[in-house]
Amino acid sequence: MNMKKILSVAIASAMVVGVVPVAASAEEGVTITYWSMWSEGESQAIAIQEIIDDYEEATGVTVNVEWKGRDITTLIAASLDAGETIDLYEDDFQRLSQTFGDYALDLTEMAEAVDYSSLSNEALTSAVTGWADGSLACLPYQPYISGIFYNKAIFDEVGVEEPTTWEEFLEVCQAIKDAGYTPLTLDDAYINLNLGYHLARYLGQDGVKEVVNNGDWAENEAVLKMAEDMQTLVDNGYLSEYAPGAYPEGENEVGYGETAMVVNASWVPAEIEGNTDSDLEWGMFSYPAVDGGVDGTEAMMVGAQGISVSANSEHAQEAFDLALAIVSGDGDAAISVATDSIPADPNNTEWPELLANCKAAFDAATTSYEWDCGIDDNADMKETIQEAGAQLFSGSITAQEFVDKLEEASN
Amino acid sequence: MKKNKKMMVVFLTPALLIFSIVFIYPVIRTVLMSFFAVERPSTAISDWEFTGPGNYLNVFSKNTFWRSMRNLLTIWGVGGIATMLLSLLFAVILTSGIRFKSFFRAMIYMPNVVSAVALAAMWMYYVFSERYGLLHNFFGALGLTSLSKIKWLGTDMKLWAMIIAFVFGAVGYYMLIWISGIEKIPQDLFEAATIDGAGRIKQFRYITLPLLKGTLKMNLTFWSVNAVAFFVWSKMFSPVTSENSTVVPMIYMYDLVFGSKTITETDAGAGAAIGCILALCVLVIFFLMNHLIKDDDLEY
Repeated sequence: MNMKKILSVAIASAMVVGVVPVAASAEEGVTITYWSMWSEGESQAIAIQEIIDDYEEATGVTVNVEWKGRDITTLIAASLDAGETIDLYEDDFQRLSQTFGDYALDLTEMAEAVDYSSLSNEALTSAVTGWADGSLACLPYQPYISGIFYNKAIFDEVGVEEPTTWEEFLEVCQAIKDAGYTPLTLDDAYINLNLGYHLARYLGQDGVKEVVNNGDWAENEAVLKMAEDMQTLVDNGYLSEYAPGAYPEGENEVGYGETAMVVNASWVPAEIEGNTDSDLEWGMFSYPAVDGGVDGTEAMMVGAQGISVSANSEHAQEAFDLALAIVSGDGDAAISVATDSIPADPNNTEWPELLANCKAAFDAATTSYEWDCGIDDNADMKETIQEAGAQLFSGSITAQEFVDKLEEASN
Repeated sequence: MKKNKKMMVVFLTPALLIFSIVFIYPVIRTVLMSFFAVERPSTAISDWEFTGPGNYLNVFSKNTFWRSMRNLLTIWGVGGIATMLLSLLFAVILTSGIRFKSFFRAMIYMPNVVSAVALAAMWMYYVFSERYGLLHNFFGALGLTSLSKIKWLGTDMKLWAMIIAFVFGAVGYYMLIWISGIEKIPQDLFEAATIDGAGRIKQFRYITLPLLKGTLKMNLTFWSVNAVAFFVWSKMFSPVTSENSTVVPMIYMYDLVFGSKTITETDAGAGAAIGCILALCVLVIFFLMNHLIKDDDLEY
């Protein structure tokens, strides 16, 4: 473990000692059950366990925590349907609001009572209420943002600035290529993210959804423009020769110092450093705007994990108090430090060192995109889009063939 | 011995009860579910809405379903032929009296005791990797540049790469079944054939193969069940989201029933329909094999 990591863990531990938001209404002798999406031993689980310990000590409430891991997705609905006593549970915040929205207690009133709006990011909470028909179905935490993450050392060496338009981005790519580095890399798992982001810049997220649901691949000329832009990356040699790599081989190229940039989300710096044992200074900028596009750099794919309180919980207030202790204040800051993730509470202005350079882009974002910017909205087409994208990025088909392929598949 | 009916009931009831609860009930519920609009497997029956063959028609209209069936057919057919031939070859060699038989048998069987997750990771990152994989380095060392640059994990080759890895893991298991079949054949048949002047190949063609029909049927049955339940390898080769190149019906069913990063509306009715279609496929295969491979005319 290097010094930075030791320091992070030490700071995280120090912060959780003073975890604050514990409501006075918590009742002693009460036991609540908490199903977590993390596995025992994960850094998130360690940080949350410390918050729970402090909560128990401060309130006298006993918390039965079960570390279910990511399989919680397959367990939660069946368990609640079977009458299992679960007071609060976690998952992706969109799934909690949509897929499992029926099981969640509307937390609006409890949230208003503690002025939760001042402790939360509005883009995230409004996404929750939008998906859950106005109900605050979960409290989002550990948010992620997306955009283009880069190795700052290469940018500094080449002497280029963060681009804001596609033209500037291509110039940056050329300069990086001239300096002997590969400008951009890509993994097969994120093909739709790259395509979705670029198409959303032309059409906005709603426009992307219209294309994928109506099959307007040939009819909407923005699709061909998007594909041509992607082909330019391949033709000009801006994309790694190995792209699209088998996840995570592509993104690891940034860790090896061979490639400068990758389109991904804020978990990627920690992931790459973990994979490659590298220690880079990371920069990040919002996906560039395209000429004549609907959306600009103000629009960004964001997301989060969430915590829901079960609608049939007999100790909803205690469950809410614990959830609040995790998603805001010192608890949120401790998780952020321990996991190198973005704090959910906007009052926690100190971001982990690894992500410090992402804050400006996040603060400037005013429009949020869903996962893959709407290009996965048609569940029956997403794999086909991914396959055609893989061929486009590997140079085996042209932009026009990409469009024809998708037009044919959707009709 | 006098039959004690009371004792039979006492001993059989718990087993039958448990069998009914954990096997018969889920099967019946799944078949019923496939004819109803059901959001989740645990949705109360009172909330089910009858749709007749709607779930089946819905599934049949999806590109992903047909792609997954095509992939499954390739895995079952191509993977099956490769696995059966390789495992039979190893079994014949190992029963031919070679030295260190136990060692080789253990080596070939070993992938079966290793987790499929570890095996898949090993194949992906140490064999198929385009940058440092064994195949890349091997062909590179031979100067075969174009072969060394094959994108084994690219969208066009991923299914084949997955089948190669899966077959590697499966061969040992079927080899053991072949070996047990071969060892059951009386040695005096081979001795008589040797005295009559038949060589190893003729002995294999006219004695071993015909007497292995029952074993072949068993192997094909096991292979079919394993292929239909193909899931982990596909998940490992496409770890973040499902891909056309590796999607199989079980993956598609899982995504529909439990949702995924991008599927937030679950459809357990459609998932149940896929389960029923797969069960039907297995039944058809059993039926065909029972009619095409007759082994009850042999006595030895």
